[in-house]
Amino acid sequence: MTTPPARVGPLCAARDPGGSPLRRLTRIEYARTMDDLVGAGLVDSSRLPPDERALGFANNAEVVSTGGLLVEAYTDLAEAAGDAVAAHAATYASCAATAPDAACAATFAASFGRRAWRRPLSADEQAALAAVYAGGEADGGFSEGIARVTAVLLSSPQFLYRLETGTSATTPTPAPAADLPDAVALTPSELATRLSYLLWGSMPDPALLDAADAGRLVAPADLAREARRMLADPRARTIVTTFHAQWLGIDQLADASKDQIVYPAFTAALSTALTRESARFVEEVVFNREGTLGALLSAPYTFGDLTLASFYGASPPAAGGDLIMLPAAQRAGLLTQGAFLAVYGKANQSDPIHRGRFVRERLFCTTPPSPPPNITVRPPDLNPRLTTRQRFAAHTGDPQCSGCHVLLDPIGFAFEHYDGIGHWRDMEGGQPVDSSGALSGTDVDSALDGVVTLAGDLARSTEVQICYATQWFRFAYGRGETTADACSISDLATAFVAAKGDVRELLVALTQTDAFRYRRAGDLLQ
Amino acid sequence: MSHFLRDDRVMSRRTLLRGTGVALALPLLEAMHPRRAGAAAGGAAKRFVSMFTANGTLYPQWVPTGTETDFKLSPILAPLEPNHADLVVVAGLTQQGGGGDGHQNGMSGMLTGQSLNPGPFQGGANTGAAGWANGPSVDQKIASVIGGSTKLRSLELGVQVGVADDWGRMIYQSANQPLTPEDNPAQAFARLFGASGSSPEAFTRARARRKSVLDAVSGQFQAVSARVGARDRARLDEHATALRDIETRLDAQASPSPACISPSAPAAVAGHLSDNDNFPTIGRLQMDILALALTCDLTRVASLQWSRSVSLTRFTWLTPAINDPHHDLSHRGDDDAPAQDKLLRINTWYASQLAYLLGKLAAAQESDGSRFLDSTLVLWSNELGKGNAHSRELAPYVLAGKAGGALRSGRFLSYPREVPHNNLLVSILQAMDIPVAKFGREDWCTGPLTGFI
Repeated sequence: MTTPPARVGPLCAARDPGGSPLRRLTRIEYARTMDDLVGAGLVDSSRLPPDERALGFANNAEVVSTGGLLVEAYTDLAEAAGDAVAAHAATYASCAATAPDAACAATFAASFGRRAWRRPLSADEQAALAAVYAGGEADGGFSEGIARVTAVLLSSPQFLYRLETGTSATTPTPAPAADLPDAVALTPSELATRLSYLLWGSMPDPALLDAADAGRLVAPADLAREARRMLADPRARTIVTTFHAQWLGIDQLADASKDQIVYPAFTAALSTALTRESARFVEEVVFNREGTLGALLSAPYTFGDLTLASFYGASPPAAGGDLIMLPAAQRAGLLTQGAFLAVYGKANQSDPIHRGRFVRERLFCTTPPSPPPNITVRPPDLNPRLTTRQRFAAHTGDPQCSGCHVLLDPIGFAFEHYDGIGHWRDMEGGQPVDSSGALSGTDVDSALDGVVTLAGDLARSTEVQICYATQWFRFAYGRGETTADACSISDLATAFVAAKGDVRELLVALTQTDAFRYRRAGDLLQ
Repeated sequence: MSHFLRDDRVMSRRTLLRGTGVALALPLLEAMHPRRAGAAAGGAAKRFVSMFTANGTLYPQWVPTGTETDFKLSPILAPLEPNHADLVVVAGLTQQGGGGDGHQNGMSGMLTGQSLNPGPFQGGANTGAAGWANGPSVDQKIASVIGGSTKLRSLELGVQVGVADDWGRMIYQSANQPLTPEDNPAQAFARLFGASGSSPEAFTRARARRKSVLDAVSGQFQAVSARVGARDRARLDEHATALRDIETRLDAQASPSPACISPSAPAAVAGHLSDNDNFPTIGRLQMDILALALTCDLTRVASLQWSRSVSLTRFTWLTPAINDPHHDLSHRGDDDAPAQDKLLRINTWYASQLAYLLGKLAAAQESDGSRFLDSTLVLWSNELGKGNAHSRELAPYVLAGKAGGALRSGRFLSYPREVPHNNLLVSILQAMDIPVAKFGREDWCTGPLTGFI
């Protein structure tokens, strides 16, 4: 008999799925879905406007906005996809090669429609598409009919949005859970969609659609089984790297602008190399090596070429490989990688305040207070004779500042060996760098000397594990957590801690929560 | 410099259809709309343009000196001297804003006169997180009245606007519905002038397809809307409204006028659009496109957003080059002479950009021979007044144009700090013939500015 793992995270008093704001495909999801649905590279969706970004993640459904720019782009892209499909209609419906007629168009609409809308189409829906086909056929033959049917399918809300009603025209409605009286269970098709966008950032594959249609996607064990299958698919790797890129802000490195006089080494090539390095590192750690958050935060290695090795002052990777062993006293894990340090570095200097703030906000999920409004915030000027720490000394001297900065600066100063683009430095302003600091108010408080010691502390912190699970909650469910989500968060954190910080186990756990499996009945009221 | 207006030929059917692969399908336009309503007898249609620049200004170097009608432009506004007679400089107002941090609510309240609703954008101030603004921006209020028949209801353009959040949005179609600025000149051009093929037949085919698609998709929106909850339905309704807007404008195309000259696609921007040093090049292209959209009557409401609040743009192209990010500079103290000098040069450069845009609108002729600038009202504003204090007092507003004669220009108006900027928004609406008594948050508005019109 096994003892259940000790619960961590917020106190779980009453189960509640929380809110489920309507989710629209993000730019990334739209592009991947088009690749899977129509064919790789056939629809260039790069012109879609950027997704709204909140709490670090560019998929927050609470702030999704719509406008003419977006809807015009959707319409244009759907028509372009229609042309691509019509040009090779037999690829999507074999009858197009032999009998291109209305019956074949109906076959196409049913099969392509089921994939595009991620569920079987109702008779009404098929009739509407048949009418669209007929109009196109009259204007421009079979090909135009297919193009229009495709364009309609891909401009419709059933494709662009993840509609959830808890009811289906084709499968029975699942029974609501007994201790969740105000919740509605999602249909198997809706769960298949949640699974595929959570784990792949794209549409369900045939196996998942089939499982849903056959009613084999209902119980938590069904979801876990599919999740494990899907995690073994290469598509899961991109989701994991996307999460980390947004959590760490690394996806914004390409837009970062550095002072070329202070940092001539910061070229587009370096920026690209650092971004790739972090993605490769995350993928290797999670899928091929330790698999844990602890390793992400403290691994003594990274991956790259000779140039990257020299960026870190490391020995070159062995011939034929790209594993780089980092200088043990200088680097360990994601927070010592160039991509993170350059994003959390100013254009012309390091940035201890925002690096410290990152640790509080994104690793401990606490929000440090910010400067009071209407005070003059004066970042100290560059001074060639002073270190950054000396220039920021005002924070600790001025009582108006010190109350909050005592939470940030002692963490941020531990990063002082890294300049604004992540290069190691021993000296600054003609003086040796002092990277001493302190971590306070956490479950792993300690005196710090550099980020290698900090990384070790973070890697063994339960609070960091709970926060990391919470960050995944935000990313996976496309919203911020509320007090109603206490049980879901606690379930996630408990499973994650019990799995010793295994990231893939956390992803499986994300498919088991009330927040994942249910919606509030009240959200469905007209 | 990468101008794409290569010649001054008046746009004729032949130049349109030959041209450079850009088709405006004028034959169809003429068949369906012999004369655009707004450009008919009774004078030129009115137009509204707003322009944003970030991080506050240096008030002493911004505010003009002199009297209402006899004033001298300040150092920052000096580049606007050629347009002196077209300006209405409005000083002294306090820009309203609420929720989130100062940049956030200044940006969102600037054109809406509204505070931010609750939401997940974690602000930099103790006020906590915020969402989107709680009402439409003034330009969208105007578009709802005059944006009827043109190809676009309004045109939002940006220059390296960056992340989509409430620090980077100023235009709101309605509460919680910000409009995204297009920050790619090539896309903006394609959106206006289309790529619907080079023959009227191709245009007709494309139009028939789109009409059929939009009709069917609208049907799908109606069908699902009935099956989802109230919150989701509101989202879907916004989308369906945008679809209907596209459908009602399917036939709208460029309207020939002496100023609507043969357009060709904008020059390619070297490197990435997000490269800092591309900022002035992209800005110039966007201003060209904006002017073209107005002069071809593709829209009557347009905006240009330079960067975003908390802009980190580095003005490396100025002499001497400024390598510090704009926002960092804006936080330096009043006694920091080098920083003040840099901020002066940054804001002066922005004024010169406005001067370029005004120059284009002044040079463009309406069908009746008057200047486009005479029918237009331009507003230049900022999310803050004083950058290093995050203060929205003494916010800098520069208006230009005559709004079709509704506005006497060549004036410098100064108001007490107690006057909320919502009053300016009311006056702008009135100048655009939209009779409102208040705009934005009720308690932030006491009526129009006295002596403005």
